[in-house]
Amino acid sequence: MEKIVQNINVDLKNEENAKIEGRIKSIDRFRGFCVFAMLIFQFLKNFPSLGFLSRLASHSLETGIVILPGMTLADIIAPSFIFAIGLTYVLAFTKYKKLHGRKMAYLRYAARALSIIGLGGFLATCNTILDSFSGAGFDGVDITFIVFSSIFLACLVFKLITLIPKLKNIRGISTWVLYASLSLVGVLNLIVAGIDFFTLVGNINAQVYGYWVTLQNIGMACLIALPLVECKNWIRLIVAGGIFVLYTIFHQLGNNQALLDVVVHGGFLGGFGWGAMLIFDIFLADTFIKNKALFLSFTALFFAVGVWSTFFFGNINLGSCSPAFILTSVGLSGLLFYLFHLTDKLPHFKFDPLIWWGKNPIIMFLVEFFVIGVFTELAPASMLGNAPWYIAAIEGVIAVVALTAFCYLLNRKKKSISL
Amino acid sequence: MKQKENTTKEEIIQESTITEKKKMPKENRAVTQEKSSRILSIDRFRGLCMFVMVISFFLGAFGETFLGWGPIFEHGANGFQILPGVAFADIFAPMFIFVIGLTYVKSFKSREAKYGTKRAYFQIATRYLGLMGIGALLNGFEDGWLDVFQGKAFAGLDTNIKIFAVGFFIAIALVLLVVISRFVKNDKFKTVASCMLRYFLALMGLFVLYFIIVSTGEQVGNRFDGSFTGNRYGGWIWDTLQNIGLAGLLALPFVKFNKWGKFTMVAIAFTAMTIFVQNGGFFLAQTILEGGLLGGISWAGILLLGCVFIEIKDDKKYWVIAALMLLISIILIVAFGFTAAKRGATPVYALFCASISAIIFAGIDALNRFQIPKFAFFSWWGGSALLTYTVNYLVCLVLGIILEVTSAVLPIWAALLITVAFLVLYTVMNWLLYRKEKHIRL
Repeated sequence: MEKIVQNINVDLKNEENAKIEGRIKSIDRFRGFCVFAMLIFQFLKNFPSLGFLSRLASHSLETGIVILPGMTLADIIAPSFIFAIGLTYVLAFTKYKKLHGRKMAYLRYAARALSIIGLGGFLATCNTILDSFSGAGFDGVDITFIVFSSIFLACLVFKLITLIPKLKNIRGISTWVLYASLSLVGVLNLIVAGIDFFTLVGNINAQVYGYWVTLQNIGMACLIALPLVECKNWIRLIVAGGIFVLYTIFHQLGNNQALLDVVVHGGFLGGFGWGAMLIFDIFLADTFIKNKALFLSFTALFFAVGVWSTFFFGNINLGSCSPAFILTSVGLSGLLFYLFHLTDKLPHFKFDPLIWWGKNPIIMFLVEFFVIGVFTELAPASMLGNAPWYIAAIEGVIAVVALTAFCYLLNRKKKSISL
Repeated sequence: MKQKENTTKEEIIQESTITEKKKMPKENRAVTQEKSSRILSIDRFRGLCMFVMVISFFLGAFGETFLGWGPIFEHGANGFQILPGVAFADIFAPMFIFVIGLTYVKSFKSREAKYGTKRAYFQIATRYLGLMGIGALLNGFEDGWLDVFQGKAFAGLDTNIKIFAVGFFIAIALVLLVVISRFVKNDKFKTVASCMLRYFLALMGLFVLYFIIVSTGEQVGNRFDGSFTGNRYGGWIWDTLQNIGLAGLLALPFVKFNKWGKFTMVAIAFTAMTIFVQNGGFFLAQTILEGGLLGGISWAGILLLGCVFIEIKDDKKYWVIAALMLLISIILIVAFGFTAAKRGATPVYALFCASISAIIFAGIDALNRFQIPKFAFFSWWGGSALLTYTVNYLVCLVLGIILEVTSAVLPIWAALLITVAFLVLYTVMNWLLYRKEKHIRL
């Protein structure tokens, strides 16, 4: 009798595991799709001869593929990536907390969020240095970023050295040192972004330092969502709603939309909009685990209210992270994920490239910056803007195959970098 | 004889239910409570719609007094826009039709169980024709007798108005006959009196149906045939009750379809209508209040969606379908610029209103969880909607005439006082009817 009960328990456990695995597969696939879209569509943007394929990554309403008032197809990729983060945020935190305790978990996740901002700051610093080759000078902020980034690079080298088996004992410390150095860049980035924001409040036409791209928004959203990671789901909804309302009031008052539009994706204050977005996503992710039908209803409602709000708040606008953009993005990326979730019900194949793409977003982000970025900077115009469609198509196919192979190898050897 | 047998069976069933209730354990009582709360939430929703409708009638009746408040109660472009072409006040009429849908199938089935399928169809058809008739008779009074009182010759009225103007007094006489029959201990007399009234109203409804088809044909003819100037019986006679009646009639052929059958029919009709409306057909629908014959398809669609939603009330799909319908309608209206209008009742407007109604109904139903069933204010209001509507229609009409004749513009406080006084009066009327379990129905 006991044996039978045990067997049943084992069967149930297996079923549960299969379910979780299935869920993770769709999350990985979804994340993989976002990374693929970010890299490949961005790459194809360089080839006007490819027609609509070159317009996929465009955020401009003139050249991009407009899907909703003020929103192009490309605008949904970053929120979808944030949605993918939201899907695993609480699960990953809980797992880490079980292993290392609550305090360490919070510390780790705060450092993680700051590191994502820091990585964005580091890449922006690299851009500043690249620009200096064409004659642009450095100001005080640039030099500070270069110094902090150099410290980060030194810590990275230290971390790489500790990979030698003999230095196994100090590997843990080196990881924290790396985190600390990158987090420092993140803190510096937040301060500079804050200064930029107040400068713009004083004078909208004033010169700002910039140092703010997609990664900074993602990091800041993670930071804002952190205090709510262990809350009840309805509290998350209320808090996200509160942040959203306050942000909407600011966004809609006077000339504030234009002010938020100056820095990429709303800049420092826009980060709160992205934060609200991530908390909404976490709320939806929790709902997804408990009740799929309710999840689908909520995402559709978010989407509907988002599009509806354009009637009152004006067009969807990624540039200022407008209220309509927040709600629409939450709903649309949720619906998009639901489509991926449906693929869990299909038979699984070993050939599943989107899963490979989804396993290493950080590495792929760096690849985009350092490989594709360098290629597009250095390649002659005849291979890019002036390339005929067949050359462009060949380059596109090579990029897809090569990067997919790279992802496959990383996945097979179980190599990954996670912040 | 057959009917008697049925009644006896029902009585036996009822008795056994009562006995079961006494013995019923707590869990089963909860189920029964839930069943009764379901009806309560429909009553509440209907009451809420009536309450809002009565207030909007009053605000309109005071003419210039509430001129500044126009956006709250005015329809179409003059009202506060919640979507391009849709005013705040535009969502309550569809809500009322949605509520009718919530009880439509139940009403049919109970009649079917009592009297058989054919008679159930006949009774429901008579009911909705009767509603159309009442609407037209009220118009006969408003557009006929009121003009005559103001000096216009009866002979100068349009043919259709004449019919309904005369019919108005015949109906009043039949209502009096029904009232008298209640005081006479003769069942046959009661039955004959109420049948005479019901069938007379249905006859008037048939006239309405005929006139709306003629007028729709004339509109098409006037537009496309240069030599044709059709106006055989006069202009449109079309108002809220006629529209509700038409919706009920058009939905009737689908009453026995299962929920997905109804849903599919609505989807097909809305798709076809949207294609028609978006390609120039809107002109025909918008010539008349609520879209007339053409708009009736949309209103019947809302009613059928009400039937679908009550069937899936406790299903997970309820929210999914409501949310997706809302999403589709909003994307079509806001992003694709599809025409949304109450006047013309375009399908996207109907889809939007049905989904909003479904969401609000789910919200009202959720109130049951908080165990406040004693708060029955809106339930009273939902009890005898037709009576409240008719009385209020006439009260507001008379009020409007008095103000027009005396050229008086009441101050806001006085107008509000009168409105509140009537609201209290209606509440007492509905409360008394609700308490005595008397519902004025067709």
